[in-house]
Amino acid sequence: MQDSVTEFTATDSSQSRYSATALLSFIDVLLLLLVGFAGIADGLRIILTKTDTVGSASAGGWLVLLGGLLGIGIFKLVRKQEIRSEQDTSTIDDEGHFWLPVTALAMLLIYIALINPLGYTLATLLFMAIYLRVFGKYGVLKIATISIAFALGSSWLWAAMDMMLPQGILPWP
Amino acid sequence: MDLLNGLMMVLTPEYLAYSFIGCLVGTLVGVLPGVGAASAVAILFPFVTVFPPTGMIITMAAIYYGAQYGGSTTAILVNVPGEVSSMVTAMDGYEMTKQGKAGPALAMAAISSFIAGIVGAIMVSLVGPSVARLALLFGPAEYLGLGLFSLTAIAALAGSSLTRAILVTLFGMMMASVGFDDSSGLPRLTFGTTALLQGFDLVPVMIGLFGIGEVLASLREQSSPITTKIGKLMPDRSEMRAGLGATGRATGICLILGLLPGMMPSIGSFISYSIERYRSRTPQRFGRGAIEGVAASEAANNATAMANLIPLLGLGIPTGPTMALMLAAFTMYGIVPGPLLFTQQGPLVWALIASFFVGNVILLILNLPLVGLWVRLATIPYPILAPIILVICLVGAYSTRNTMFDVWTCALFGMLGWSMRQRGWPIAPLVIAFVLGPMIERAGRQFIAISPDLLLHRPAFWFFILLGVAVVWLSHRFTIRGELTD
Repeated sequence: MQDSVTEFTATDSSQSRYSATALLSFIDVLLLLLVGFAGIADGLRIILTKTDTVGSASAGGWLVLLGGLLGIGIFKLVRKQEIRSEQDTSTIDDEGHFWLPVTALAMLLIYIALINPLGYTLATLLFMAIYLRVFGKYGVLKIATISIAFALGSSWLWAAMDMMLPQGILPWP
Repeated sequence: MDLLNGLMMVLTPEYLAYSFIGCLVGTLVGVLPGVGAASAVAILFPFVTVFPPTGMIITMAAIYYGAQYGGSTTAILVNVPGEVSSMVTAMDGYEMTKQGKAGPALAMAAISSFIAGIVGAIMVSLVGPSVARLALLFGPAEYLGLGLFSLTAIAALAGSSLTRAILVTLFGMMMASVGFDDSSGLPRLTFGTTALLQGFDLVPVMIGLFGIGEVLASLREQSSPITTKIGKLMPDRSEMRAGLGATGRATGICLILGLLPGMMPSIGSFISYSIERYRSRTPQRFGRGAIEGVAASEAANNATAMANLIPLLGLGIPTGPTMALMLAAFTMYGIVPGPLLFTQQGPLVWALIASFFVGNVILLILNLPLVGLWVRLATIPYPILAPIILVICLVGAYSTRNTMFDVWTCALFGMLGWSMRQRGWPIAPLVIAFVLGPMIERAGRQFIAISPDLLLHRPAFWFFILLGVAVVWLSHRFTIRGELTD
């Protein structure tokens, strides 16, 4: 009896995992299809509209060729049902493994968006502090020490190497 | 004589310093978990551009083999392979450490790497110029054949599925087409945006795919505490004999295999390890602390790395992601690797080759006394290490052209690199296609403009095509595909 209950629960959860995996597989195929379609569309645009430019046919033809081959490859992949890989299930099985990188990536994107308005030093300080808090679960003092030391130290180092980084509201060094 | 001149040049304090910096930084980055040799070169690439051309190329090469060296130290001592090829070393190396034989394992890894590196450097100096002379006979048809062979070989060797590898290759070629077309001057795949007109630069793409991608993929990995004692350093006579035999065989095999595009150090390590286990009278010892396993793996990855340089220097064809970055380093200074490199840039090339000898000696001296330091570095908590690497990646991407577009490109390809790793898509074909795509397109369009019939009269083109088919068949036959990618 106990076994059957366990089995039912496992099936239920594996169904939800399967749908998430299928969704991710769909994204792979969709992205490749989109790139292939973009290639064909842009290639045809060049061939058909830039007739007065020397080399336009081969420039567009190359994109059409790549896009077409991508389409054929995707068709073959779908037919062979190779979209799902062993790694797919592990991604979904281990929620931590999936969400940790997603969280880090989101923080990284926000950091990039802030580099220009805030400047490298301030944006880096904030990024380091939040990252260490979220992932390291360190105390405030340790977070502050590491973040400030790295943000100021690296700013100084890049300046010493003649690297011009956005300075934003804190023009240092 | 050329090599002697190169050696004289490299032994000056300035170039010794470049070699030393490269070896030190490469080993330092190589010991960090989740940062392989390709990532190390990608992340550090923008920072060595402040050096003059010869200094930069020497430093990059030293970072490359330094990172491979560093990966083995932590693989043996704490079972934290810095890169894929060190995973093979860890199989027996860590077992030896658990048996109290960390010293002999480290020493054998260092000796094997040194021997393979020196023999590899000799081969580069002997074979490189001959390959370059042969390549002088190549025209568009031969380069088209060579490019197609390279892509086919890397697709066959780099993934668990050939279809997936080919799709990634096509995707990489498509990404390389973004921006202005060289021949017609027309913008392609820009969709009316001005940002995309400049196209994607190789460096942010590589930093994203390897630097950010690997950090994101390694976020779950935790450092192991140091619980090992190194003990006596040198292997005894029987261990030395067994190790040196394995080193010789692995070096010989991988110096030949390494000439193939797609034959990356990690694949060489797996193949050599398998051969050693196959020919051993006691194969059950492998995976339980066999010194031949450590020697074969370390010699193989160094020999392959050295052999990989021959197609790059002689033909201008990168065999893997790291070589693609080396190619970018050359082109950054207007130097075109290929047939004319040895004649037009003789001093630079021979200084580079001579630096391999010097670099290997530096690594041997540097690694064993500093083992304790490397191990401590490998156990820095990842929550501290990861954001630092991520910031360095973005700064590196920005500094190549001083534009935020490259930073976004880096993040985008980082996301792509992580996603591809998670879902079993090979990354190496994407990079090689990104680099070789424009060359293949140019060669194809050139010979179509001259006469497509020309192909029928170019036997070298068909030789490369047949070679490509043979590699696909062989890789399928021996199933050396799968998780053997850098």
